[in-house]
Amino acid sequence: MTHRQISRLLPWYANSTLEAEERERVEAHLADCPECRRELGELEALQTAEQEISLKAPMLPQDLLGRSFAEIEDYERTRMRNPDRTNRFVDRWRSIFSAWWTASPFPARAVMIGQAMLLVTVTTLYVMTPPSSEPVTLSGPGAGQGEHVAITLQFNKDATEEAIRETLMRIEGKIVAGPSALGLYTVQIPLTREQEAELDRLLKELRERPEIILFAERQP
Amino acid sequence: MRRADSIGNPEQEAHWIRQIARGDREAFENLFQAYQRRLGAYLYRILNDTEAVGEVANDVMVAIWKQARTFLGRSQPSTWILGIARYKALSRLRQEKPRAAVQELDRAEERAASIDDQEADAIRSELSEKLERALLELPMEQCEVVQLTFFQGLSYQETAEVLHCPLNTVKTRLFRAKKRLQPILTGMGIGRDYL
Repeated sequence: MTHRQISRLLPWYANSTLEAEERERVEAHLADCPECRRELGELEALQTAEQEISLKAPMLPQDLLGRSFAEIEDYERTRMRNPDRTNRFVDRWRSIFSAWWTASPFPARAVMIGQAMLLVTVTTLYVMTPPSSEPVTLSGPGAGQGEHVAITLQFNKDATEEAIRETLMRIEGKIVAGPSALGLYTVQIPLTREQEAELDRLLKELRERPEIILFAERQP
Repeated sequence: MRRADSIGNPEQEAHWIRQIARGDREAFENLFQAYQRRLGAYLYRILNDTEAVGEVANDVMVAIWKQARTFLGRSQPSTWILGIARYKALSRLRQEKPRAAVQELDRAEERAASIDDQEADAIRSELSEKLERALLELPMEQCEVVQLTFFQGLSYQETAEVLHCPLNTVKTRLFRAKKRLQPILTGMGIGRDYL
């Protein structure tokens, strides 16, 4: 490092935030450079003066906390009345994922990336496979998983895992895809397209639980 | 050499922010207490107006609540919070632009005067007084870097994050601030003991 480069690092040597390597280089240079040593002294004086000024600044008033909480409560009430269906569930899963990602060691992340790539590959292959042209009946050949109706669900971001699981068990639903970028899940239920009335009843029942289900609709 | 006394505990603050994202009011209160001094000092250096500082600080705290779930832990909590504070403070200054320039100078002079008034009560060298006055009169962009470095105790990388500018710009601004203050520093013979 040049003398000029070292000189430009001195403020952060003074506030002890340099990385180890940079700190060692600065220290080695200081041993032989009286100009930089004088500069460092001046920066330390600046630091003291700046701290004096900043400590004299008025502290934030204690009642500010109350004001902030009042505004936050208004915000939360408005949010509950007008849930942002697009973002809230996504934000919740994003924060959970981000916390896990940040805390995970590299191998875990590599496994996660591998699994994600496998999922994308399998999904792509599935989507690109042309649908069967054979008619499918309840009792005839081909009846089975393709016979069941799929619905689209969006879960309330505040719903507990237990509540979601209980709901799925109650409707005998199975998540077969999702979440999408909008936080939507495809759930297969053991009803056929002919069972319109039962399907309508089920969707109505799901929509009556906004604390768990924000959105429920049959898929075309 | 030491970091500013105002430095907190980044791990604890990051935990509080994650808890705030889950609606934890106690964590929000803890974060407020931890930043009461730092946030006030930073906003006051930019706004120089106690009433404006209170209003903007409220905006900052509410923004922290709303945006807590977007904090991914990739930056230090202080960088994230001071970044929000800077955005809110500059937005406020832009709203008040016609008055801000004059008011800022007036406030700087008021603070300088208050330093004079306090001299009778506090033991302070002439050097410190002149230096403090000169620091208060620094241009905004230099003042910010000095505050973030010497009071908030940020690294130059963290300062660049808060200011949304390149690393070299941070170094240059602080270099220019020091150059501006050099006559006072030289005249007072600071640094002689380091030779």
